[in-house]
Amino acid sequence: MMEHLTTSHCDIEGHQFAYFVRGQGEPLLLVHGISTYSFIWRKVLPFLEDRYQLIGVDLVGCGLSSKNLDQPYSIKRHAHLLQKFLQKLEIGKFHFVGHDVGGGIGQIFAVNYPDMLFDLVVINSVAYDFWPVQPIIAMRTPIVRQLAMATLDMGALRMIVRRGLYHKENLTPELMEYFWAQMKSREGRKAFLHFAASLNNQDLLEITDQLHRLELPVLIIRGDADPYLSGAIAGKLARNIPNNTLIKIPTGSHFIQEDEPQQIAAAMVDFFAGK
Amino acid sequence: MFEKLKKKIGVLEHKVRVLEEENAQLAERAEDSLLLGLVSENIQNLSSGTEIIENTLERISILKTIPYATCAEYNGTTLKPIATYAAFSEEEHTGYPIELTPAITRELEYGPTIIHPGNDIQYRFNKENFAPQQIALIPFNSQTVAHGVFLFMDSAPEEFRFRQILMLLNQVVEMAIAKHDNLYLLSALTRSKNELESRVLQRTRELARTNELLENEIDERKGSERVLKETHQTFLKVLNSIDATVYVADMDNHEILFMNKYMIDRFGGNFTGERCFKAFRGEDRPCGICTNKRLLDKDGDPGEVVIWQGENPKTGETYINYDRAVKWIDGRIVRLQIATDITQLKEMEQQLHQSQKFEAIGTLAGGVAHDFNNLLMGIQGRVSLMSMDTEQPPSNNEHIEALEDYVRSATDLTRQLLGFARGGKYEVKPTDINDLIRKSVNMFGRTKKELKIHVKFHKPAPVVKVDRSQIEQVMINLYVNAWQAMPLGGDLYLETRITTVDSTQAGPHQVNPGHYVNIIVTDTGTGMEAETRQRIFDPFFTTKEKERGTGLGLASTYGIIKNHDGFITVTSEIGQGASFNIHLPLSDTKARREAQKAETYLRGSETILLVDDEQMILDVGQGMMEKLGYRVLAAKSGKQAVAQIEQDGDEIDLVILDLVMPGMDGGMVFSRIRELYPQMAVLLSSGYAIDGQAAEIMQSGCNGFIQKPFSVATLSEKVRHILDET
Repeated sequence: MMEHLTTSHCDIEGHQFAYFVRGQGEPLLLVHGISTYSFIWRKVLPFLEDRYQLIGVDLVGCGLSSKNLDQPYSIKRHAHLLQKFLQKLEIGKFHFVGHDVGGGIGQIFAVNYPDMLFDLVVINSVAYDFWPVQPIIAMRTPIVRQLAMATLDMGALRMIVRRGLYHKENLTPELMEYFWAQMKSREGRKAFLHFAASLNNQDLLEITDQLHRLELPVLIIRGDADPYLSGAIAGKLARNIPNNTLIKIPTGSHFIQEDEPQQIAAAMVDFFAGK
Repeated sequence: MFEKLKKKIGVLEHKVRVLEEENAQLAERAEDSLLLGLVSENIQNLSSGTEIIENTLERISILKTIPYATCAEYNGTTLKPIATYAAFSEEEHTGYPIELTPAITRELEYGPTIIHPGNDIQYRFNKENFAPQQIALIPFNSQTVAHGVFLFMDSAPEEFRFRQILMLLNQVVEMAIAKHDNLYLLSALTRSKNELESRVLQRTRELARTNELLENEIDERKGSERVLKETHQTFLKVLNSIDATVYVADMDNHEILFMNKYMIDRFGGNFTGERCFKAFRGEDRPCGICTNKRLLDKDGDPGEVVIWQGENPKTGETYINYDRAVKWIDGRIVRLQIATDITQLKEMEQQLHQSQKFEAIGTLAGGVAHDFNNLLMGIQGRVSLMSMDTEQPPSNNEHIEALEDYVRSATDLTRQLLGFARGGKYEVKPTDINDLIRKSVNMFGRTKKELKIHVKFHKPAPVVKVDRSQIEQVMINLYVNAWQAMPLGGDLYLETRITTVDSTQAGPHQVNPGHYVNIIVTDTGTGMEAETRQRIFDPFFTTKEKERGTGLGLASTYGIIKNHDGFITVTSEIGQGASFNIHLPLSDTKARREAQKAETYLRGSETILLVDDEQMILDVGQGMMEKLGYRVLAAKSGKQAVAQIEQDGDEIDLVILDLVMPGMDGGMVFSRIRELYPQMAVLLSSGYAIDGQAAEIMQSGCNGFIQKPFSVATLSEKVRHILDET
């Protein structure tokens, strides 16, 4: 049965942040990407909450967080808002785990606020220029148009989700309910498209040099069956980030948290332990 | 080689580009179809016209990447928003107010158009959020919007984009509006259908209700019919149970429509269907006394009841009739008559009239008798004095005897008259009626040998409290009447019985209910016809020749019986004899034997005060008493008497006091005497019989009573008796 994880709220610069905090241990921030929200971590949580204090967020415009359209939902702004959010929670240092666009947010966070992080984990993440530069054009790229259609058509969304799973049997009605939840309302749909329209790979391109000089340990996890993001991204990150570990999981697709939650959790735990 | 390869690569790259472009176009075409499909699919499930427009705008905006879309109605140049979608804002109807120039609105009459920001259109956007570069206008009209327009605004400068998708946008708009109209029409149709269904339902309910009412009414009617039938039967039962004639007849043709059982029995048949005048009265045409005309009011509706009484010629009975007009069961107005037989009532009424008549005559007769008695007293007195005179010539004796006979006859006459006048009982004693009748009839029968007398007496002998002489007089009158009805002889039957008279019988005779002695005197004489029978007790009514009677006998009999609280009736038919039926109240006291008296002159020497307002009486009385040896003082009025007593009371031994005197009457004098001399002897005298005041005085201690006219012997006896006792 569908259950929202983010049961807490706080105000960050006029935005209502929906989040959860559970578990004990070092703080670990989980950040989702586009088309998902905090639900994407639900299968991973049980493998981490005994060891870490897990903080999950719904990015602005996603899940249960507010959906104001007067500000852009750029990766840079998300990183900024997250920093404010963690300050408010009085989280000192933490582990940053980001998926998809969330990985992009993590790269900007790591570059701008390295002292706040123990390390960075990017899972099937965006990076560099693997996203159109101008929003208008971006909206016309096939993937984005597919996403746009998916806001209006459950079937289109289902197709996107299915393609993003390695273990197709994980495409359950419950999972679709989670994905479709934020597309049900016009507000949700507008916010999602605003998010898509706000994406600008310039935000990531301009931190390339800083990223390649990052001293933070970085774990790069790639579900190798991801049809949406090329393996070249992970490869380029692994080649350029100084202190990194690359783990490829062949039985995982774009939504690897659904495919191999235990594996990625185990990989994270080992990484955090310094193994 | 390298150059060739480079050329080939260049060609391939070009082909790829072309393919990519074609692919993009194909994708675009596919998306167009998808858009149409998505819009169509979405709006199928919507039930609100506004929602259809809103959803269409959203789909167009998302799928064609058009940041702003709005649908509005315009009347003139100002747009009134119907629905708006802005990808960059949640504000409702963002961008408004939007104004178009007249030129643009005129252009819209011809179809879709693309314009650029400028003077043709006015809107309001936050430029940081959105700055339109081109605007597509697609006009429409619908069932609810006469002049409508869809506006699509894009911030991209490329005009060709809108031109490429204008037709698609138009198609989508048309589809949406068609659906919108369909919905409207469907809604109107549904409303009409619902209204119709509602009306049908209401009508059905009304019909059901009416049916129910009708069924109830039918049940009620059936019930009513049943009740009506029962009521009718009950009614018939009642009508046939009452002892009154009830009939209904048509007022126009007099046809009898209904007769109750009582009437059928009385008239000897059910004459329903015949004419009432013929069936009930034996007439050939409507009766002259028919009340039909009087039964209706001036409007021809049933009016008041007409009550009348009369003798029915067919049955001979007298009826009191209640005639009224009523509405018959078939709606016509008919005559209803209810009649009660009052024949018996009439007879009783006649008897009552007779009683009252006799009483009136009686009062008159009483007065006459009293005065007459005084005269007779005077005559009798003189005759007595004459007969006492030993010095008169012997030849006068015959005259004196004849005079005495005449006076006796006259006295009898006045006695009869007084009897009729019911002047009171003289001396009432418990009397063996059997003994009285036996003695009287024996005496009578001694001289009437042609009569056969049959007696039948009740045993034990009934006792009645009567004045013996008066009842004897009654019996004698009846014997005489019977004898006179049987000139050639016949049978006379006498019977005594004890009967009970109830209130119904007692009422008309004005007597009390109770036990009575019934004396029946029956003869086998000529009998009487009805007219005679009705008048038989009238004073001075007689069928006999003059010398055979005064006509007072039966009147006197009637009066005496009435005075004894009894009553007398007669039944007779011509040739059937007559039967006189006397009822006298039965007494439970033992009878007293009648003592015989002999007539003697008793003398004395005491002093007597004679009081009478009649000088004649004074003279005669004084003469009588002095002849008998008494000293007589006379007073002509009550006042004189009192004065005399006051003066000479010690000397007076007896007062003979007349009752009826003007001024101070006998009663007042007696009271005064008793005041002065409680023990003085007083003999009350009167021309009236002892009754009323006389009886009171007697009860107050008066020593005796003598009725005028009295003989010397009677007077002397009374005087001597009183003087000897006091």
